[in-house]
Amino acid sequence: MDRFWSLLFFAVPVLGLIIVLGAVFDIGLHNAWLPESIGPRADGIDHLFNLFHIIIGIVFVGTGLFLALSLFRFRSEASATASYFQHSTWLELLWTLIPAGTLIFLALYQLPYWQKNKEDHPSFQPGTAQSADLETPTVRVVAYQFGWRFIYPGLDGKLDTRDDIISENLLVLPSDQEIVAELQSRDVIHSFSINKLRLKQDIVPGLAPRIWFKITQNGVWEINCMELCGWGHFRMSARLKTVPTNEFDAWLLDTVRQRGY
Amino acid sequence: MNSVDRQTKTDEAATPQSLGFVRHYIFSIDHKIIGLQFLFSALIWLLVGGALAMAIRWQMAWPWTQIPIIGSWLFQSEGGQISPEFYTMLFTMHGTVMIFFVIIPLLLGAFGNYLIPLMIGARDMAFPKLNMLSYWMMWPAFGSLILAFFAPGFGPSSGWTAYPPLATVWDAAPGSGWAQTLWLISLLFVGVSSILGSINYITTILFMRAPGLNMMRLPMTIWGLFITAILQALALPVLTVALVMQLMDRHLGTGFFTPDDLIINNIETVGSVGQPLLWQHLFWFYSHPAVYIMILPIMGMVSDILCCFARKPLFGYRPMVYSMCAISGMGFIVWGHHMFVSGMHPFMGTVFMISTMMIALPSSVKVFNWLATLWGGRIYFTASMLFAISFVSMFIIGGLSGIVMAANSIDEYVHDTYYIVAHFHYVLFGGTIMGAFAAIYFWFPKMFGRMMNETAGKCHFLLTFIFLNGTFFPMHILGWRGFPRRMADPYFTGQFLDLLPLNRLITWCAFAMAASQLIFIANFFYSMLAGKRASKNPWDANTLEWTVDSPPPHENFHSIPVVTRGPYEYSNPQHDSDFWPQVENVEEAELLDSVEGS
Repeated sequence: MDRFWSLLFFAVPVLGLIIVLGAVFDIGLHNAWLPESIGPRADGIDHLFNLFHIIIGIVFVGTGLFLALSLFRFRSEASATASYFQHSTWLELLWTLIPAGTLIFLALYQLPYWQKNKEDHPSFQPGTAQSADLETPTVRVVAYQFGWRFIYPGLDGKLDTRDDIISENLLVLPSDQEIVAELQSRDVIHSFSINKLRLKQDIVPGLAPRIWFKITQNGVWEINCMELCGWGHFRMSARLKTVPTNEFDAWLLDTVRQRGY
Repeated sequence: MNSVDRQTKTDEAATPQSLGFVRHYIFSIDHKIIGLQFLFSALIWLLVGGALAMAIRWQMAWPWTQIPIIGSWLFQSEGGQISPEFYTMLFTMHGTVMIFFVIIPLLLGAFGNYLIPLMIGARDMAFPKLNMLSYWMMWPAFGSLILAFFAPGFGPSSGWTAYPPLATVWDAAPGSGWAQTLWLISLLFVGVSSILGSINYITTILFMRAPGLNMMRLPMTIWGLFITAILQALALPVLTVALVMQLMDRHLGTGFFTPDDLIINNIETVGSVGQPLLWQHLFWFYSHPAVYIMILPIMGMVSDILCCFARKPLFGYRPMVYSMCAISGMGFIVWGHHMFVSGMHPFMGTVFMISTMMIALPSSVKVFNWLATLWGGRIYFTASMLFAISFVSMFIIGGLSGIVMAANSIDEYVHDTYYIVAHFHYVLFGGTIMGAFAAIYFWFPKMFGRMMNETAGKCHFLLTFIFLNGTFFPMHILGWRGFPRRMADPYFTGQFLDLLPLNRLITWCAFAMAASQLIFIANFFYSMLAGKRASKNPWDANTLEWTVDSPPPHENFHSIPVVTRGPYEYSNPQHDSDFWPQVENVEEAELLDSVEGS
């Protein structure tokens, strides 16, 4: 029976193998497991995601195998006496320094992606609401229970003027052009999330965080609220439609004309 | 000095026989009875929390369908199905119950109370009446949380994190009315209970150890409980303050957390200029250390159990103690990793990313030391040992996925998805609950004087282990796909419909896992009443609690033991048997006991 229990734990590293193979396949087959990627931001995060999973997967399989092997080899029926050892400075150093090195490497390796996605941009103005110095965003996103309003600057290129264009639950954006969006909430905390862009930004009422991203494909995707915002949280979604820049301009003009300005 | 004080107290104390039933079993000041009170309360709440989880799983697998049998009785107006506001209550209450009513009382209240005096050779806690108060502070908490279920909106529904303004504005959610107030009151009482307990544990461990039991001879269980008590004493006041501030925001019109000019339910809030991020910082300043509060005691207990059943000394005692101290120290500077996408300054995200990455280090040191402890041992696969090994195994998974989320770039993607759910369930169920089962199987003979049935225990282990992985492992895959948590119907937009079959598999495994616990419940009560009688030291273990009768008498030790060695002298070649208790000569001590007793 001891043999059975020790063998049972050999099943655990199999789970680790799923992680490693999953990440490897994902790289090889271009998002076999991760959702489709629609922009460079997603490509970067996918790269990190898979790299991290290969590394932790290897550690997972390694430690899991070692544990199972110890159990099998030193089960009471196979091991007459236990050995009496309880300290080894070089072992402690080894398994402190190697993980420390790996962790520091991972921390520093992924850091530039964070800075690129969150900090290194002319629109980055930490902690403040709308500032006069900032250029007008492509679109202002206003989240409320339970929907999204998208406000475009209109023909004068300025927000909060009479010719602002308002679109409910449909965000049309030009592809292949960097988008700057200003996020606002009218009531509780929401989170603006485009799963296929790996983008997520909470919208705390009172703050107006800015995000920037580029979508390189034309199509229709989902925008979800990813922060609990009340009973209707699940249905707080909007469509995201990306079109070539000329079509986007035409859509804007069209919308303006319909409203009769 | 201390033992003299205690001795005087003993003479004054009434013997248990002279106490009535109420003083002995209900308003008891005996740490063992209080420990058992915490144990039973926590296990009952575990059933409640588990039932809530089953309802969550039902909705994820068969959204908006009628729950068989109980559905029509529970939700008459909804046609037997879960309503969205009910679902938000479910996961809020599941989290609250499991964290505040199950895990923390189970680890600190039950095991802390029961084991600390026994393992350090003391007759009772330093402050027995404070100890009793700490248990009875739980009852107002229980009461107001039960009342919250019957408040409008079925109960609090802003998540266990209670982020304002959702939680502070009365109309923001159906459960943000009286239910939320009751939730806050309930948590306040839990907090007071824990603070009282932790003061007691710290004092007891520092000042009431038996002669010869210096800090570096303490069993890891005591180290785990000691460090956890310090964590609680330092972190809980912050949560308490935050809870009071939220109560004031809701009832006295203050504006700590609620911003101005919100339009909720067509009503505009005016007059407050609060900041929701402030709540998040205060909340996580407690609730991240709480994660370590929920795992450090179990790490200690598992270390003791592994050594006992591998018949081998703990590998790297000092590194184990230091890494525990490191985890608790660093645990105070990582809370911001819950807020990577909250809108706080991204540079702070970087700081918290680095501290979070680094906290993985002491955890990994602990894992390697456990692995080295098992290597070269003589391993007996008792039910307790199997649960303890599975703790190590599952903690590795939970720890490794933690590294992925520590990376702030990646966290932006997995934040608020099932990847997070998978991670903390591996740590809290795969780790803490499995470790707590190990501890229950291990110390049950001491608590009740009878052995638990081993065969039933192993069946319980096997089924729990399989279905635990069946339930929580696929959640990583859901997370890979970006499947959102806390949504009553994640399939609403159709984008996650391909994950429905996987969710059904998870739900079946969760149901099976819940059903497997029936074996445990049956075994627990059967063994308590009719199990095989336990000797003083059924596992041939070294620590002090195994030198007294099972169950231990009132005041534990007839004479305070004198400790001469560390707790891990297993298979010492200088000694005939493969264990060497911490007390110099057990037989002699027993002889003395019998003389004193007569």
